[in-house]
Amino acid sequence: MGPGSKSVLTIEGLRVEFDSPHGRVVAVRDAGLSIRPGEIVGLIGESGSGKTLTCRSVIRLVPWPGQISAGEIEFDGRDVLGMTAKELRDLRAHDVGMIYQDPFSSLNPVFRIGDQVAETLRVNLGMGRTEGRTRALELLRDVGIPDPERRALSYPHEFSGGMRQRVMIALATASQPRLLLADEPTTALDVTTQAQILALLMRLREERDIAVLLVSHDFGVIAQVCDRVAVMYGGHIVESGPIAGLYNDAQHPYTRALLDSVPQLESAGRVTRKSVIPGTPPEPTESLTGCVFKPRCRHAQASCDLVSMALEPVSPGHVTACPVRPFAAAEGGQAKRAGAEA
Amino acid sequence: MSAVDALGQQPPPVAETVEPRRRASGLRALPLQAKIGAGILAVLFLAGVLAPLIAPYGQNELNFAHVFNSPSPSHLMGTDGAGRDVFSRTLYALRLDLAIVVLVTFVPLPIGVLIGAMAGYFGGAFDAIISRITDTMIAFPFVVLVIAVISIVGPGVKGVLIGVPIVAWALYARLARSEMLVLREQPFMLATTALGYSRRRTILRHAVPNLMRSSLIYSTLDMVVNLLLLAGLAYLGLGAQPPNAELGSIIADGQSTLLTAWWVATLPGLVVVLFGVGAGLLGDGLSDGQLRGRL
Repeated sequence: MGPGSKSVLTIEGLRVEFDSPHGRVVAVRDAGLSIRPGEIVGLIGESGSGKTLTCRSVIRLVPWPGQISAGEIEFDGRDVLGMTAKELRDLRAHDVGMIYQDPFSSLNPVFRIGDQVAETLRVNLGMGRTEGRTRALELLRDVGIPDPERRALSYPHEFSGGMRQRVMIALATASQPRLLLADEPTTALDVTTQAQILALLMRLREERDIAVLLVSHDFGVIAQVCDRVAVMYGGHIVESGPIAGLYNDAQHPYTRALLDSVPQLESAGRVTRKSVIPGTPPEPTESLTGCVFKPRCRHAQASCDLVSMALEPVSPGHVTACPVRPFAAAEGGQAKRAGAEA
Repeated sequence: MSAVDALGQQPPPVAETVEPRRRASGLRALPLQAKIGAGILAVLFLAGVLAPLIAPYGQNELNFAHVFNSPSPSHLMGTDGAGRDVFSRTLYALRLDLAIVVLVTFVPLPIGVLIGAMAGYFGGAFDAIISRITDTMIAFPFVVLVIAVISIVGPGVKGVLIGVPIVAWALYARLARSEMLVLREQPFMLATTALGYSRRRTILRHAVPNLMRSSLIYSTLDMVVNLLLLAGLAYLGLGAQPPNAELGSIIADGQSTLLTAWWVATLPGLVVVLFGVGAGLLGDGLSDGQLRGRL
């Protein structure tokens, strides 16, 4: 939210609810986020924290029976939640691309790779058959498919996971979108492939100025590529800020616990698993008063029952929902995570 | 985070040069039994289509000099009580029956698949209504319905042509619907929406090719059922009207002389059996191929 540059995407007060047999379930509460052009923003959280729903809300692809019940989503000055079906399709076709976790089933098994990419070009950009085919080969080459002329004739099952994810990226970015929603794009891939896909995302950002919303549960992935990061827990965004600020000076106990739970490879063969967050995330059916993280928080106090989960500034661009600030006074920026080791 | 090291530098050249598996195109990719089945059906269909060219006699050509001749080189399937050549009559009967079978199988198929696919995709009230209708259709005694139609439009192939499609789409609809329920949850279906494709394109271009297979496999069975129905109705005299031949009516003619002139009923009967075997082998082979193709 730096001054001067206009956001390509702004989410404010997003609320996603589900009707379930046990009553209304609120999966995302009052989430806010903004992405500037060419920026990679991470959204991190545990399973069920609402990160995928937040991501899908951007193109209104919340799975049934979920629905967006409040909030504002603005893409490039356009109100996404107020769009007609036609406008929404146009948004999905031209402005926002999406890739997701499972590259093994995200391509249609009965069509050749090249035809699938060419179809997007024909349908969404109105290209002719020949033009579409030529451009599809260029796109496949651009995302790092070797020998695209030959591989375009292959079917998805003949591709590895990493290759399929590359094809998905080619598909999602074929119509030059301004924003790419990447929902755990590397979760199903091994570490080397993961690094290649992340490098590809960064290259696309450089070359085409595509903004990326990268959803992940892995701080390692987020730390590699993101400029800013938002941490989600129990449907709330509990902390967000520039990646360096958050990494070195996390203010929310949950962010810190997440950082501490990343295993560190210290020297040959020695892995320290620092800590595991005790307990389980809240059930979305539970109605909690005060801080959602309180039951699992080692710094919980009586006053936590009165916390509103509103984000308060820590430093420019860095906000947290924890008013207790257990780390603010006790430790400096350097001794950041030493305390959690005990 | 060993992956962090890979940052910054260009990704290593991707070492994936797996040869795309050699794909035998079309029929060659099928298992042997499917090929045999397809071969049998091809011969039968060809015989039907070419009946006027290859039949040695006319279908109603009488020859009272050669009544109840047993099979011989000049009458491959012998002759019947009116001296008609059973082989020629069988060819003409095949021609008529296969034409009807193809019509009443492959006209309802796309209609059923489409209705089922839509029901599965959209769900909700539309699905509930379609599902109840298909349940009713499937539960309905099929032969009785066809006979009821025949009682309205009169005997002849018209009854089958109208009666069978009224019901036959329902099974395809149910098949397609259940496949669509699975397919709908597949990420690539979500991808079509995320790419801004219309629902029409999503269903017709992306879902239907994926769910056609089970319907096509079922259609081989359905053809046999329809041929048997046709033969059964003709046997009862509700099919093509004499003197024109249908497999069922030839068999019915020969039935009274089964002990003295076995060939009149038996040999056309074997043609029906042959069709069933061919279609069965094809369907079986196709579904085996499907299992292997999916893995």
